[in-house]
Amino acid sequence: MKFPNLLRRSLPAGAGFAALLLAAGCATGSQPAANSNSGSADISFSFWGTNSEAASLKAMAAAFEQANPGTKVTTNWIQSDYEQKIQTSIAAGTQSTVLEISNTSLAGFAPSFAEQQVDPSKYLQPNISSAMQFEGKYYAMPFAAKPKVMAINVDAFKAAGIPLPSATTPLTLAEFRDIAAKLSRGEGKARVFGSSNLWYRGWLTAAGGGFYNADATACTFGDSTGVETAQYVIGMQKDRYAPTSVDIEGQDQAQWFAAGRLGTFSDFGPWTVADFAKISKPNWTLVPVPGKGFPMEVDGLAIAKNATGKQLETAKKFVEFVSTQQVAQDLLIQGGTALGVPIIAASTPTLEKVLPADRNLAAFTTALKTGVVGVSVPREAQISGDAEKGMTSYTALGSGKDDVAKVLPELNAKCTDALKQ
Amino acid sequence: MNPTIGWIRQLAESWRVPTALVPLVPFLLLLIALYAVIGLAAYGALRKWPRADKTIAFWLFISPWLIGFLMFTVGPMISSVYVSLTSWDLITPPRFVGFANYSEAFQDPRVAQALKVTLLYAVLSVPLQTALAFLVALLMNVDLPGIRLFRTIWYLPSLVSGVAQMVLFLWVFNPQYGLANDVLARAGIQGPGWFSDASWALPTVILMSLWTVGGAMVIYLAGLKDVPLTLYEAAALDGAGLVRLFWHITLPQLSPIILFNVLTGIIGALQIFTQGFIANGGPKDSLLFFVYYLYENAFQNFRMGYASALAWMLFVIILALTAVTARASAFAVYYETDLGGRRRRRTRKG
Repeated sequence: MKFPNLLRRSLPAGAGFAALLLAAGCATGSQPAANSNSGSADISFSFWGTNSEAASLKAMAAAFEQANPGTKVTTNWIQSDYEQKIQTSIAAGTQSTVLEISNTSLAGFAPSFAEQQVDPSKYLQPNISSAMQFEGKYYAMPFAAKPKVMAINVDAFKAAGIPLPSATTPLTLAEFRDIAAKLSRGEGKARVFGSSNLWYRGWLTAAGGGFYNADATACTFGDSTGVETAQYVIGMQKDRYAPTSVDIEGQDQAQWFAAGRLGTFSDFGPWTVADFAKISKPNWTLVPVPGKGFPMEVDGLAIAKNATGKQLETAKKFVEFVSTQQVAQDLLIQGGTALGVPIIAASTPTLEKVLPADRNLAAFTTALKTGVVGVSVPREAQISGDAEKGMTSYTALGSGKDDVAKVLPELNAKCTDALKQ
Repeated sequence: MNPTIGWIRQLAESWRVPTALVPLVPFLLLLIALYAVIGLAAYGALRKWPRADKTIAFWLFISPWLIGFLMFTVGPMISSVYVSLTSWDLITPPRFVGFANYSEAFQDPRVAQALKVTLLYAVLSVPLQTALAFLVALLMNVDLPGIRLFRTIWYLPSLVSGVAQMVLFLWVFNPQYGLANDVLARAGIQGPGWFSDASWALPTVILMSLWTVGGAMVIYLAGLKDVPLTLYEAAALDGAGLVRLFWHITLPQLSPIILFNVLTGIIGALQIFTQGFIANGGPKDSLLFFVYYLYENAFQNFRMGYASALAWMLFVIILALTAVTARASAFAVYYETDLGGRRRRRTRKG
């Protein structure tokens, strides 16, 4: 291979520049790459979500920049596999300065988050701030709650001669079952179900039970409340008052509701508002979920443990702003949908005004004030995932046939063992 | 972010590079820089050697692949050996645990289940796929008007990606609203639960795998076109019928291609993932394929050390099965080329 003289002479210079660029580009120094620029007020912010949820969070970041001139928040919208991606970025030391985290996942990530100071009095109820605690310390600041409510088909209630449930007081589980029975009719693929598919973990909370005990030292879904709730769910499915998991495989239950195939839809979160806003017929409204309601997810903002200097200061300001300022909390609602329910009193009316009063979006505020927040356990995905897989594989909560009174206690024992490991 | 990378990104932004391409700019620049450093070092080291020009040219041309292979395959493989000896959740620092992950894997009932499901899938699907692909290739080898259209139709499904395929078949085999049960119902048969039924889930995935035999079919077809017609003519003159022609000419002539498809089929079957992932392992772990279980440990349970140990176990299993198959094939595969020596001694005389 022949190189012209000029090229031959410039080769060492080129090699030197390339080596320099390579060394500079690959160097990480003593600080992790993501937060090495601690002298700057620029921070990065990772979050998950749909298009509208991302729009809310980007708008919050923009509002913060406007309120704090000289700061910059670079948003990092992770559209899928959020936890896997932030976990690998933590391992590589390239995580964002601020990270969105849900209360259910907090315990697993706590070692990589900075401790924060949270004032519980700023929020609508104490559960909201305590959801961001792990082992007595705050590792994130809450910014949105995701309570569940129940949509009811008003036309179906009227046609069946059933009085509408209270807009503020939840039905008991027995009352709900009676109503579902009266609303159910027809056969085969045209069957109208009184209830949507029943989410066992949600109904377990509604019945007063829980997946774990209060200090997360034992699983409790296999106790008498857990077994009775499972029998309640399976009974509703057997009587065809609610569809089974096989019935709804590949189906959109919101579309079933719109087509009049469901009398009630119990898994209604703030993000569902946009889908239901399009439904004008059948007429519908929101009421509380029966019993004690479904578990409420609380989302918070954590600060990376390796953030220092000005970045840390900016990050603290940012999470405080998003968590407690009305201008940011109002942005949780974008157009016809909501990322979550605002957690400060001043922003409560913002969500309630999205749809006409007869839709009763105020049910979300009621649910938020009474919402039950589950404990956060490390390895939650593995522990609850294994248990739920067992339930759906072996019992009629899924596609199995075994007796819940036998299976649940066995799974519960395995779950408790896993918690102790 | 690294200041140099940040500076390059800012530069790219100031040049109005589209936002989505900005992260690529520093990556490509660093790759070019790496390539330049290694290329020039190779040039400096080898330029005075005899035949240096050819050697340098060889290494320069092969280096894009070689650098990628070393960085993205060999590097992670070596790293995973170390990770497999640790307990690591990605958040806290890895803790050395010796062979504890391997020892746990030997006692883990879900590893046994994953091996059972994966081997069963490989044992059943590979022969079925091979037979069907071969049969279809024989049919597609017939010279008829419009045969190219049929070949295209058979080949097309193999272009559909795994996830899209699985989503499509979840619909086809939906117990309530799926095409399969609808057709069966019209014949008065109540269809099974398919993916929802633990005893039907694996057969359903095997059935599904037959949809994409077009890829192997094309290779067989190319092999069939390559069989010399003179062999058939000579055998026909000796009075050989269709069955004898197939058994004594077509099959031996295509045996190296069958071996290739069987080997790649076994390796692919042992690495099956998408179907288990989309079905979330299936009811009662009926679709708990080994690679899916590995993924579950790595990216759902965040047990990187255990997952790396499983990866090495799978590597050894695949290596062993491939070696056994390749060795056993020596007695059934006919090579017409004159390779002399060892290979000829191990092959059947033609």
